[in-house]
Amino acid sequence: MRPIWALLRVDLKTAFSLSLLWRQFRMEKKYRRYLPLVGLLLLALVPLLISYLMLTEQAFRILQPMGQESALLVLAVIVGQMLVFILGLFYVISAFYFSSDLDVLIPLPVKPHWIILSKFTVILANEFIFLAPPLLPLFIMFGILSHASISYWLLLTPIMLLLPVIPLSISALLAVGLMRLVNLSRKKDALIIIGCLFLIVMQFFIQIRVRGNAGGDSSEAILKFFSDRNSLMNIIGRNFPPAVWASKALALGFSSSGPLNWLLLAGFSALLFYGLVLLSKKMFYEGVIGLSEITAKRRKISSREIERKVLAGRHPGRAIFWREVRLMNRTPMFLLNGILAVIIIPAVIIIAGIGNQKGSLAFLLNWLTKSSPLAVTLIAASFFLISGCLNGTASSTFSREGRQFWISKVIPVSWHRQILAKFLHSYLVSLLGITVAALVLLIGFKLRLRLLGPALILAMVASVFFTAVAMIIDLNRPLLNWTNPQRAIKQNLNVVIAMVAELGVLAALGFFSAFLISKKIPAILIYLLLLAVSLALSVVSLSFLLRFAGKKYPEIEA
Amino acid sequence: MIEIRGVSKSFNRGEVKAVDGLDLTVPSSEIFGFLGPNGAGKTTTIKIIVGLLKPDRGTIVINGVDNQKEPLKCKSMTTYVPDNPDVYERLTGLEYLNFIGDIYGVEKIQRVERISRWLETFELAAAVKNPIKSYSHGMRQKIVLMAALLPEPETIVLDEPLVGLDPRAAHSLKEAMHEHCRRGGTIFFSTHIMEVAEKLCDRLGIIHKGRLVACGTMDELKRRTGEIESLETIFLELTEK
Repeated sequence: MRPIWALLRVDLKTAFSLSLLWRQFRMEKKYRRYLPLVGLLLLALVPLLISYLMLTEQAFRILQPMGQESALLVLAVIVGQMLVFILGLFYVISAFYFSSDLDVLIPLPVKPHWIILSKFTVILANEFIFLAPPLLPLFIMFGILSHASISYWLLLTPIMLLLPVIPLSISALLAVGLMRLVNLSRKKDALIIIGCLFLIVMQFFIQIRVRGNAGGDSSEAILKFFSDRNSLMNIIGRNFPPAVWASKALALGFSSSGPLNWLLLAGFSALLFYGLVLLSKKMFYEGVIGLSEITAKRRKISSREIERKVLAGRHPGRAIFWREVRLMNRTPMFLLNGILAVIIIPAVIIIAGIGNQKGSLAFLLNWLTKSSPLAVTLIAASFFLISGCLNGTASSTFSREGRQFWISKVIPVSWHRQILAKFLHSYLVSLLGITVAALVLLIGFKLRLRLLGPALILAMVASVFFTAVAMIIDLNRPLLNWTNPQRAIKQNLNVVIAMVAELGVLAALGFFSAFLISKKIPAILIYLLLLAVSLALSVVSLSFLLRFAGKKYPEIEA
Repeated sequence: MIEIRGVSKSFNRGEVKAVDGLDLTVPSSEIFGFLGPNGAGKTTTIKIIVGLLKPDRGTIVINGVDNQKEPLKCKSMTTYVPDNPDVYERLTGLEYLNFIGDIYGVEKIQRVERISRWLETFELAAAVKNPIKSYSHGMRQKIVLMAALLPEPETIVLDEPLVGLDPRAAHSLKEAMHEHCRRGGTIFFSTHIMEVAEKLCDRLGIIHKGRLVACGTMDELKRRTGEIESLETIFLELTEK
């Protein structure tokens, strides 16, 4: 077997824990018990899939009479590719530069671009898994509705496979360049954070520009849509041509300019991929070797310093809380997904809001404030909860400890106390997100305090429940054997499950509120009822978390 | 004092018996060396003692306290050094020691005195303000050892503590172990270095395929195996079958 294939095989097995999963499935009974659960979970997704397909059909039926149905394809492709582009940056930096297997790989007689190619392929495989559930049903539905030719169905698989290559290659090129610069500096962690923030903000601006150029606001643009078949597709994809190439290649097949677009997509993907190979040959080792080294000044500590820096003795719970804060905020990948995420996401919404002042968001909020103040309060509370809780802080709180989990198990501090310290840390991160989101609505959208205040109270109460649920999910099956921090938070299934569960609860509460509003129940009563439900859920979930910890902590093998 | 009574632990639905009906008592003021080939069950036994693993059967009693019934009380009397010094890399050495001091409730005066002493002994005074991420393997091992010694617990359990230590640090550790036992404490440690075990330990136990195949002082082991001179030969003899 050629070394590159051996490398790829091992990387794929490690990334998806294939050998471990197979072994656990064969050897351990408890893992087989999960199978019906997975089936049930998949079954639960069927209604969501049906609604999604119905929505696709509706959109198709609206666009078809105007000859703009292909816009549906480009819109799906562009959203998918943008997500790959944004998330890919984290994946790439983490997999290329922070995997612990690099210490083993670098001394081996393997070429730098082999390592990059192998890791790139693993991320690509991850992206296919990520893109397939939203895109594939849409593409199939489009094919059926448009009575697509045989070429459409033949080209579907190769185009699906090519879709993430361009955005991921761009992310990889940016990452390799950034990390080369980072490795020149002594303040590597700080530079990684600043670099990533810069690239994220840049990506968001590109997104806003792409959206802005869709020209949805002006009547002139709308008229233009009708005058030209596929004009909407071209306008949406103007700033990101690969999305148009992919959609046209798919929609036009072997006729018209289909082959040309197919060639453009494949050619550009190959070109960027080759560029990545060339760049990694030149820069990968320079970026990665010595990256984990910290240049620390070795200066002997004086007895006076020891006297000053040795603490007087804090409460164990306080010590654990500060350990959580330090470990989270000093690991760049954790910091970017924790505190920085809860600050950035609402801040980006401000930028988006300001960029679209004539658009519908501020207008809609203003109109709703007049017609249904309660709806505004509830929407604001949902926004606070999404901003504060839908990050990986609580849902990776145990996983983040990784191989150091043994310390939590041997120290003489009760599970309850440890859980409370961890809960406090996650809850405070949520509160930070809620505060920033409140400031966004207050300053950016001029939301009135009499609507904002109740929303804040509701979100603060409900976030206890959201934090506790996320912690329960992570405690049930913490991911402790990760090799790079990214896996503990971004590629951790617990984080995804917690997000889906939280969105599900939000949707359920939304339906419940809509039902109450439709029954003409007074707004104050509805609000108080929701507050009481949130309070009850919070108390129940927190006490369950504490009880569950007593059962689960001793079972976790560290 | 550590009392291990009929402890068994298996993995893979009972297919692999890591520890099989282990009975062992380590009295106070004793350094007990736990020997055995790779995969014999040393680390599993140690993990059961410190509460990292639950035994399938049997009990562990530390200074009269059952570690399953009163785990917190047991843990407050015990510290542990794992075979791999995996500690919080993003904390500085001093922050980690302060964390352990807080957890075990070590008062400031004692903390300052002990940290100063161990920093000098293990030659870590120049690195203790730096993140543990910047430490070499040996330095990480030293900081884990310092953390285990800081609370001055009654029992210290160490899994191959000498791996990665330079000769001076290894010597200091052996001194510290003797000092701990002179104060009435108990040391339970595993090692593969026969010379160290022979010279350092009051008693030795040899585990093979999960069962204790020999236990006693060096003289007792020699008598049992027909006056074989070195511990290495005794070890090879007992673990060959």
